Formats: sequence, C-alpha cells, structure tokens
Amino acid sequence: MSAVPASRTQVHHVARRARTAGWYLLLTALAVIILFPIYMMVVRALSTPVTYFGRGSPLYPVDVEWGVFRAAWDEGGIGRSMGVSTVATLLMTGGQVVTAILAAYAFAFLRFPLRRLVFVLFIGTLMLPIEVTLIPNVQTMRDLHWLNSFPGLVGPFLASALGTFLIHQGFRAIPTELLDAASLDGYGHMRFLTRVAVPLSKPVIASFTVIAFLGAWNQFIWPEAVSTETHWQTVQIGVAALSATTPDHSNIAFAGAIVASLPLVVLLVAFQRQLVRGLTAGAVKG
Amino acid sequence: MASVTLDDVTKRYGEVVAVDHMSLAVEDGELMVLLGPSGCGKTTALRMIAGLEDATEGTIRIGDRVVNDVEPRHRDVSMVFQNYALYPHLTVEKNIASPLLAREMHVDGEDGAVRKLSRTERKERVNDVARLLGLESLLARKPSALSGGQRQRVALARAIVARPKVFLMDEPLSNLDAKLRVQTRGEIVDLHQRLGTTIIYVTHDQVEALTMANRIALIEAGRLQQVGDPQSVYDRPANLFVARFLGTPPMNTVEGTITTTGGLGVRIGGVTVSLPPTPGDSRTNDGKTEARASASVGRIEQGRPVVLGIRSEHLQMLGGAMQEGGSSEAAQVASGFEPLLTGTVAHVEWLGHESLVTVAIGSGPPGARDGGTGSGAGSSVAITSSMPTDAVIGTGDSEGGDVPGSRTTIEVRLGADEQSPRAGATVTLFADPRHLHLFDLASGQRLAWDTHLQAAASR
Repeated sequence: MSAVPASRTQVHHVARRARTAGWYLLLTALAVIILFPIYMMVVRALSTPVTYFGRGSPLYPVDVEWGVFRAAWDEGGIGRSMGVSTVATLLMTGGQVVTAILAAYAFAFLRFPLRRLVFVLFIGTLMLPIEVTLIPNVQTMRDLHWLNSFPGLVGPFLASALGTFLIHQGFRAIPTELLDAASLDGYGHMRFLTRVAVPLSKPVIASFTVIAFLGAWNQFIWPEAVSTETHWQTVQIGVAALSATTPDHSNIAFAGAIVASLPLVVLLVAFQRQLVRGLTAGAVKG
Repeated sequence: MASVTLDDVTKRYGEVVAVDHMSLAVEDGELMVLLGPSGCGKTTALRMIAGLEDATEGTIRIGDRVVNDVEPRHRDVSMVFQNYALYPHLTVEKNIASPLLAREMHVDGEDGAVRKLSRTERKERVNDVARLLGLESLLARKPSALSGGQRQRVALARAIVARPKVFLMDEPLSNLDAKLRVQTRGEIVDLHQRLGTTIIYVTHDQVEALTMANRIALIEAGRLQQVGDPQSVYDRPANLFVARFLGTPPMNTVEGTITTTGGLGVRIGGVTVSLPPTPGDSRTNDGKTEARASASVGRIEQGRPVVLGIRSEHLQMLGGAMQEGGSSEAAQVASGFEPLLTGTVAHVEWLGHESLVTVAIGSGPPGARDGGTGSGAGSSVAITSSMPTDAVIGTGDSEGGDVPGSRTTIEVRLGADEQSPRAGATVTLFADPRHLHLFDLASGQRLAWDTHLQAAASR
C-alpha cells in the first residue's frame, strides 16, 4: 500500500466525520428551538407568578409550588373538560376509523359508476379548511338542538377524507389475487373486509388511528363554536379560558396546558412508529 | 367431477377482444391444458370459468349447469393462482381451511346434501389434505416462513380441500425454479390420477403442456387454434402458429410456391422439393384432433404460395466433415431419404444429449449440389427471408430468419452419437417426406396434400 491512497482515505474519513458532526449540531439546535417553549411552559407553571416576574423572568423556576396542577385540575376545571374531551375524542376517532375503513374498501374493491370522480371529490374535501364549513355546520347543529351535547361535538367529525385516503392506499397494496382467492373461497365483502383486508392493513389503520386521535384531541374552533356552556367545554377550550384569567394565576393556566398535553405525550411515545409511518403513508406494507 | 363447456364464448374489454368466440369442451376427469403466448386470452378464459370475469357473450357450463350468472363460490370450482394468493396473515392450517369456512360442501355419506362443515369435520379434512401433500409439519407456520415450493403445495391443498368438481390452475408452476417445477409437475399429474378431478390448466410453457395434458387447447389472439392430445397437435399442427409454438426449437419453416410439373412439389428458390403421398395425413380428422380441416383453404394448385415446415429432429444432414463421397447419390443412399436443401453451417450448439446445428440456407458456395427431383439448376438454394411477416400468421414466436433481409436458417437436431459438422461447412439436408408439413402462406392453415395429390397427378 502506498502512502497516497492511505492519506486520501484518511482525508475522506475526516470529512465524513465532520459532516456527521455538522448534522448533529444542526439537529440539536432545531431540537432546542422546538423544546425551549415547552421547557418554559414547565418553568412558568411551577413558578409563582408574582415572585417570578419580581426576579426578572429567569430561565429557571422560582418559588416552586407543586399544588398548581391540582388547582388547574379542580378549580381550573381541567379535570371536567378532560372528561368531555376524552369521550368526544374516542367517539370521533372510533367513528373516523370505522367509516374510513368502509369508504376505503368501497373505493378500493367495489366497482360502481363514477367511482374515480366520487373518490376525487371526496379526497378534495381535504382542501377545505374547517372555517369554510363552520357557520353552516353550527347552524345545522343548532337546528338539530345539538349544541352543548356529544352529538354536536362529534357529529361532523365521524368521517374523514384523510383516513379514507390513507386506508385506501393500504387496501390497494393488497394483491388482487387475494380478492379472487377469497371470492372462490366463498368470502363475501364483509368477510373479506374483516378477515383479510383489515388484518393486512393493520399498520396503516394504526397510523391513522393515532393521527385521528391527535386531531380530535386538539380541536379548538369547532368545540368553541358548539359548546356555549362551561359544562361542555373540551380541554383545549378550558385551557384557553384559564389563560384568559389574571396574570396572577398564569401559573395555573400553564399547569392546565401541561395536563392537557399529557395524554398526547403518552400517545406519541407509545405510537411513535405508527405516527411516522402514517405521515409517510402510501408506501405501506410489502 | 364435471365436464366444462364453453359455447361460443367471447370476452371484450371495451374495444379489446380478449377471448374470441371460443368453443371448447373439457371432458369429465380430463386434464386440459390451455396453452398460448402471454396475452392470448387463456387466463381470461380460465377466469370466466371461475366466475371472476363475466363472459360478454356465449354460454359456460359446468356439468349440465349454465353458470354464467352463478357466483364463483357456488360454481364448485377451486383455483390455484400463479402467485399462490395465500393469506399472508393466516397460518398454513387456516389458509387450507379457508374454503371450508364460508362455502357449503357435500358431506361424505349424506347424499346430495350441502351444508357448512363442523369444526371437527374441517380439522379432519385439513389434516387429510395436509397428509396427502406432506404439509403436516408446516401447519402452524405462516406463508412467509415457507419456501416457494411449499407455498405452492399449500395453494394446492387449499384447492383440494373443498373437493370441487373442477380445478382451475393459472400457471401454478411459473414461480418455481426449474428443478422444483419438474417435480411439482409430476405431483400434479399424480394428484390428477388419484383424485380423478377435471383440471383446466393454463400455461405458456409448451413442455408443461406436452408432459401433463390429456389434451391441449392452443390459443392465440383470443382464438382457439387447435385442440387435441399432445402427440396429435405436435405431429399434425393445424396451422403455422401451432407448428411454430410447439417444439424446441420451433418447427423450421421455409416459404415457397406449389409446383405441379413433374409431380407435386414446393419450389423454394431455385429448387423443388417433391411431396410424395403421405398416407398418414388422413389422421387429421379422425375425431381425436379437432384441427380445422383444410377443406376451406382451397385447392393446391400451381404457383400457390405456401410454407414448408419440418421439425429439427426430422432432418438429417450430410456434408462438411462427414461427407466422404461427396455425391448426392451416395448421400441419398446413406440417409434413405431425399435431399431437401443445401446450406452452410452457421453454428453448432452442443447440449450433451444432442446438438443443435443452425444451417443458413442459401449461403453455400456456388456449385454445391442441391437436392430435389432433378429440376434444380445446380445453383445453391438462395432464399433470403422475404417472407412478409404480416402475411404469415403466428410468426412472432418463430426464432431467427424472419427478420426481413436476413437469411433463412434451419435448425437440425443431431443425436449425441452423431458427429457435428464444423461451422462454415456446406451440408445437404435430408428428410423423410412423411414429416414435411405444408401450410397456406396467406391463411397459415395446414394443407393436407395427399388428398390433392391424385387430383394433381391425374391432370
């Protein structure tokens, strides 16, 4: 071995390490930028507001008061609104998953006139922001006397174009021979759906379930519009209401926000893989 | 067990005709192979029998029942798919049992009654079939943990377990490696003999067709070309497509024109190949084969453009290194047959048990002796392949020689003990005239010249 290629390899090696180090530096910086507000939320929740501001808003908690979480839960009404949110979120998630599976199945496996057009229109509703449909939908809820009720909170969100699209992609990855084999085996559509299509598409369905749960839990505009009574506030509305109180109690608002986000943190940690896969969906399953 | 009858069945996808007025009767207990190149409509025909596609026109019968509007599951058929189509999330046992779950079955000892099976009955049947196919030790596994051959066997087991009247197999061996394919081929034939069930088997592999079939149905461009037992379709191809599709290498075909001067013959370039009476040709219409009769093709008359066909194994060769005496008379005596054509050896493929010699016709040196009935002018046989490919049906599968401007080549098969000539050697080809095939150039249909011979001779 001559010295020249050896040193070349070394140069190459160093360059690669430098590049890796650069990437890590960048990623660390990004992580800090993203995590800093969350850290500050914890600092503000734990610090008594008056003392904190007196110390000139430091980057660490002062005069730590742990009872603030309890206060947010009870007096702040976060406990009650979390109950409302939990029920509404479970209903919406369940509803979306079931209807998305059924709709996706129809689009993927049934032949009916104008199927492509209907599918495109259906998926096109993804483009509509909630604000567009807000006023007519609220009017409908009022006409149905569904304001301040679970049907009102969840009704318009029992179906999902995104879920239909994602699960449709998953179903399309199922070889058509399986459908042929199943129809010779005597499977009807319902049996094929439950015994073959859904079990084979578990990863996408799991991903969409997580996405649907996140979306439902984080809803703000809609529950704000249809729950006029405090009793029907969801947790996001509750947190917003808390933060609107006097600055003396801002620590309670921050504590409420932390409590409200805990279920999501748990969910993210538990279902990280499904979530990432869902976001990169389309390339589902081999 | 049941017969399957297609009566004038057509399948159209918009403008595309996948199956074109096909009529085919598969007898009870028969192993019928649908053979043809990819895209010829054989799989579509099979899928129509299964009920996975609707026939646009025509009637499909399984036994005596018209099944056009019957759901696949009520047709009492099982299908084996090319890609196995096993449920990847279910164990082998559950895969095999799947037709038993939803379908109603005939039950032993209960005459004619159809019902769903109980759990113990299902288990019993699955175990029986697993034993039959040697899958007992694999029952708890998922398909992903099986080899290709094992998956294929599970697919077969799933088809057998329902005890259907008819098995439909769509290229079931094409995903297996060569060795396993031969083995599984034997197993399917064996199963067919044991179960006695009607099997309709789709393949593009002529070796599978020839080795497995009771009868072969050759299909091209959605049309049935010929139906018959393997030997009859091989020996008496009904048209050029069948002639070129069956056999490895494909049948040699050379274009020429009919001549009736000095006896019936085919004029190829400067030489005439005589066509002696062929008593065997009347076999064409003996009922075993359903070859389209040549009657509609018209008369064999002077100047008619035809294609002469001869299989590589029916050719013999003299010349080159082997030629000692050099006279065609000696050669004729040696082979016992008439000299046919002269050419130059292009290359030799040695395959161990045989050699394939490719002879370029018309590239021989001037003055090389041509064969024939004495009408040859002594020039070498120069046939450039001027065959207009659109005028000849089924040229797509013939190898070599069909490219305009290239020379016509002929493949000759030599036994292992025969000495192969060197490349470049000039050789004379001989053939037993009984093995010559004649086809109409325009229609591609087989011409049976013996019936025309008397007419031609009596003129």
